[in-house]
Amino acid sequence: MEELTIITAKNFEIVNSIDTVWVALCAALIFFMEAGFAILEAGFVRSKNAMSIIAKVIIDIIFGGIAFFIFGFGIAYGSSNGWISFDLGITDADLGLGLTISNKLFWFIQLGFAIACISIVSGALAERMKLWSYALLVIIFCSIMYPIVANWVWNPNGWLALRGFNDFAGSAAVHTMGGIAALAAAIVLGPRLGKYNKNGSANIIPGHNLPLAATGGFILWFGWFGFNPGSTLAAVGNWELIGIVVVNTFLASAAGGISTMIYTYFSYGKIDITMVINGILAGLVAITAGCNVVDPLSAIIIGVFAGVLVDLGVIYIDKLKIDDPVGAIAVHGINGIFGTIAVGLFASEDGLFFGGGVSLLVTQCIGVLTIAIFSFVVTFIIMKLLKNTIGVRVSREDEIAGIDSASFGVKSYSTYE
Amino acid sequence: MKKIEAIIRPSKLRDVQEGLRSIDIPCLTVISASGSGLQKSYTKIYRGTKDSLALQNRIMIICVVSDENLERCVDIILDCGSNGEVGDGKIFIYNVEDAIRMSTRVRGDNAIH
Repeated sequence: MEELTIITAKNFEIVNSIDTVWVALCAALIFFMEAGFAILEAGFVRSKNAMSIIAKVIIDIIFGGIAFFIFGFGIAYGSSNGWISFDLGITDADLGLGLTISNKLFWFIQLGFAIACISIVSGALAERMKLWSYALLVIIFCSIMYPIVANWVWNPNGWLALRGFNDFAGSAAVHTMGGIAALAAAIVLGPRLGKYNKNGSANIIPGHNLPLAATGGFILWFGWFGFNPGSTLAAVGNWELIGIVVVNTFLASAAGGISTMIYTYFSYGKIDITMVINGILAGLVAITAGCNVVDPLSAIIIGVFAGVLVDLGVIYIDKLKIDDPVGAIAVHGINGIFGTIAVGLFASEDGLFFGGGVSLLVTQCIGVLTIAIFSFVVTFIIMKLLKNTIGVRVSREDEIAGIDSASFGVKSYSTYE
Repeated sequence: MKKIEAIIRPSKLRDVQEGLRSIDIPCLTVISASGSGLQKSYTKIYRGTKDSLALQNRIMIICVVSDENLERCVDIILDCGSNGEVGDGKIFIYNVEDAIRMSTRVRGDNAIH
């Protein structure tokens, strides 16, 4: 009997160790996605603002990270009343998630989700937002707004979790939340100078370094293989599930790239490779919610639709005169919503197309729409408050000269020295 | 035949290009330039050290036009390229000896437009 206890204790320790290695690896991959966000966005803006967008992503990590440590984690994963919890810091109490990793490591992987969510917003605000105002938005976003949504979706007592809402790695909680917040913030902030003409037509403001943007896209793609498989939160007992998640994640991204490539070729007569990058990311965003419950063929179909949706989304958002320099709203907002709803259609057990009826579909729709509305309204109010107090926009002169030389006194590329 | 070298703000390039196209002088060469004029430049700060000799980014447009097109071309560059502020740039005008269109070997005014 005593021997058995020792063996069980050892097994327990081995399981925890294996799961810790797995989650730590994935958490580091997710953290590295920030590099992807930074240089993808830097490549898609003009060279005079390249350092400012890097600075925004740094602000996401340093301000957002501390905010998520002090307030965010407790609000998201403390003892929840279904909508919110009021703990501080990283609690040692059992979170009710059946974790085999320490709460501290769980905090670190969730930190990656929180800062990814706000980094989505940073792209849509590129080239014109004041940095200190942005830092305040980041602090509010990572300490309160994102954690509330994470509480609904992933806290074991969250109201959406209790309804059986399936958002495996965050199409709704991370991407819809971030993408719709980007929409609201970009509306309040207004378009860049020279983006729209007086007659309403749009000018192209091309990114200054497309290979850099593409590299950022590759890094995000790479990091996604931590984002989705890492959301298993344990390796032991999940070896089959991890395989399914990896394959679905890849298939959806590839299908998204293919459909965008074909769509842009037939719509514009030329392949738009910057849109293909966005199409790949759109496929990734869309499969993030359902990568644990769909078949590979469904993953491909979801990716194909995501790739077309992102093209239509970018054009439609431009028509509304909402200036989104990197396409964050179309990639993350629109496809986050689509991906979450797609779970209700394509889930191989409960999905509508597989004879599971409409109950999951209804839950998915309720969940993602609530998150989208919450995100839009709260971000809109906070941006309006910032606008009417400390201001959100750099001065006209600074915007024309470029934020890099105006705010930092540097240029990204010092040609003559 | 005259050569116009205009140093303008980068943000004005699109306006000037559109303006020149509207008076049917579409041929131009654009060079990314840096330099300093009379206006104060921004102060460069690198790891705490200030440097007020920083160069401003500007764009240089080069157009070669016939004598009768000169004033129209200069007027468009002035109208579209200036804010009426220090730092708008400068325009230089030179005489041009001859011009040759390489594809057809045509010379003179016929070669430039």
